[in-house]
Amino acid sequence: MRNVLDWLEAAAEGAPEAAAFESPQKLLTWAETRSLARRIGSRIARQVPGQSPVMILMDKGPDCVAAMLGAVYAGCFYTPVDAAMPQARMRMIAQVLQPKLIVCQDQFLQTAASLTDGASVCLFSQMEEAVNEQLLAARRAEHIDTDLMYVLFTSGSTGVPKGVSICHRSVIDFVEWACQALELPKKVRFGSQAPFYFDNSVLDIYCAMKMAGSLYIIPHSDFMFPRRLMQTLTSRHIDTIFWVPSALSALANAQVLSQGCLPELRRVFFCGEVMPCRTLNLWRNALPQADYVNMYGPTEITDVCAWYRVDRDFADFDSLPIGKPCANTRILLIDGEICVAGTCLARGYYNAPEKTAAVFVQNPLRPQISETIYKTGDLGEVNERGELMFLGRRDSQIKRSGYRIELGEIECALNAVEGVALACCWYETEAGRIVAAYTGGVEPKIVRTGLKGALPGYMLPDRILHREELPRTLSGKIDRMALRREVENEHSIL
Amino acid sequence: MDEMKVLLDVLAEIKDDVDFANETALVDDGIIDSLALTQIIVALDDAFDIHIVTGDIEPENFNSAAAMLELVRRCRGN
Repeated sequence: MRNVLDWLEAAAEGAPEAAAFESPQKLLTWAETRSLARRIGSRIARQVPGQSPVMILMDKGPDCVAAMLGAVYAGCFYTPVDAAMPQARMRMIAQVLQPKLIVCQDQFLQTAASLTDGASVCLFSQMEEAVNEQLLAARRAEHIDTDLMYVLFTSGSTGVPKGVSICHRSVIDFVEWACQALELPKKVRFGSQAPFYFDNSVLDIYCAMKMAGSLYIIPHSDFMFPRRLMQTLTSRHIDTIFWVPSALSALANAQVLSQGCLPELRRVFFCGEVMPCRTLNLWRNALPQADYVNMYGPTEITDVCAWYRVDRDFADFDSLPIGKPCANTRILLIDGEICVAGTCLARGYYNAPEKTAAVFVQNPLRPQISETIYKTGDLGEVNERGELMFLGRRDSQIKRSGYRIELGEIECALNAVEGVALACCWYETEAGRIVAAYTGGVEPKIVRTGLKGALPGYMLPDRILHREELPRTLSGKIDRMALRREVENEHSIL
Repeated sequence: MDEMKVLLDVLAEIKDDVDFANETALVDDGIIDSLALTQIIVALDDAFDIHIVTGDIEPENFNSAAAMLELVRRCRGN
């Protein structure tokens, strides 16, 4: 009967007046978070049965957290959706999820109402009704820890988003591991970058909750202005961040990091894409006192399944290990592919049994017993120190002139070239061409010369393009598909 | 030539659904995102033959067309 709400209740008992979730516009203490979530939970429970999908269409902020927790109090599971995403995609998500209820802020009412016929729409501003103790207790009593807690949507190769379905047990095992392994202190102060529809936010929200700490929701616009972001981190006394490497690179490249800056920042965690060692080194030089942890994990395994605490120096062109599995997690390399088993595994893709069956499969190495593994599609190897190394996506491995090439390795070399801020490359199969794009204040010719010193000739990109900015996905990662389209369109015009 | 008109034309090419002439909280209200901001910087550099440096990339310089024009003039040193 374990439930993530146990942490919320403990925090509300132990630190009722302490800040829990905060944005520039709003602050909720732990007691207020619990109270608001219970009132919303009562409203939801009155409207829909337990284990119903609840879609949440709200701006990232304390209220959104309260709505998500309200769904959990009602014995339901939640799907936060980005209000800025194209409506067509939102409708596809609604089609897969078939929400029973959509909770939205006033400004999104029209959008919410247009998404699906089968769902009731509730305005967040009108949900605060009296707590129905009896109903909430009944929902809690029905709960088992393999019930779904949330469904997060990721892009699917066919264009239809896939709803990764995660249960309480997965989150509980993950958060208990994270708080201990990452040595989070009581009253930890997180500075949140990840949108709530991106699974990095699970660590932010629930570790803050378990430690009765706080989560400061950094405004999205701060990430456009490095100096403002530095001010926010300082003035809000942030001591822990869990960001995508692109966000860390942005600060490093803007040259706002200096010795003695951010004296309170003690923990810098990252996940979601490959961390260039050059960025890591800039951070470590400026903030040697902080703990740096590289994490790895697709949405399908509850945020993170492998981790590496930086314990030695790396050259700018080195690759950072992803280390070892988290607790209750087993990582297998099958034909070089990273496969994962353990309680962290999602219960599959919502309403998509075929897609689920394709990647959540029986462990072929243990046919004697039913054990599901998730095939990540990522390639890995174990280095001479016994640490797991991420080698790139399975589909980013190419063959050219008989050579097997990992595009990730080329990107690593590009990122290490002096003056390159951020780089990315891809393979145009039909033309047999490797194309690279980068940002930074250095000419493509110089980049090519730098690469020649680092890579064998067969790995050198055929085209190296300078860009002012690389497009980003909503979660802050490089949007490779968009970049590729951009470049291909320009090329077709030329 | 009216510099403000040039500026507004440049901005309209980047985002044609924003009332640049009257908005005063373009950044603070999230009307321009990071990609639009980068496009604006590049476009201003080209249109006015200036170079906007990292130190000038502050929200208050981009919240309104008037602030951007102010920035352009400062960058030109007049």
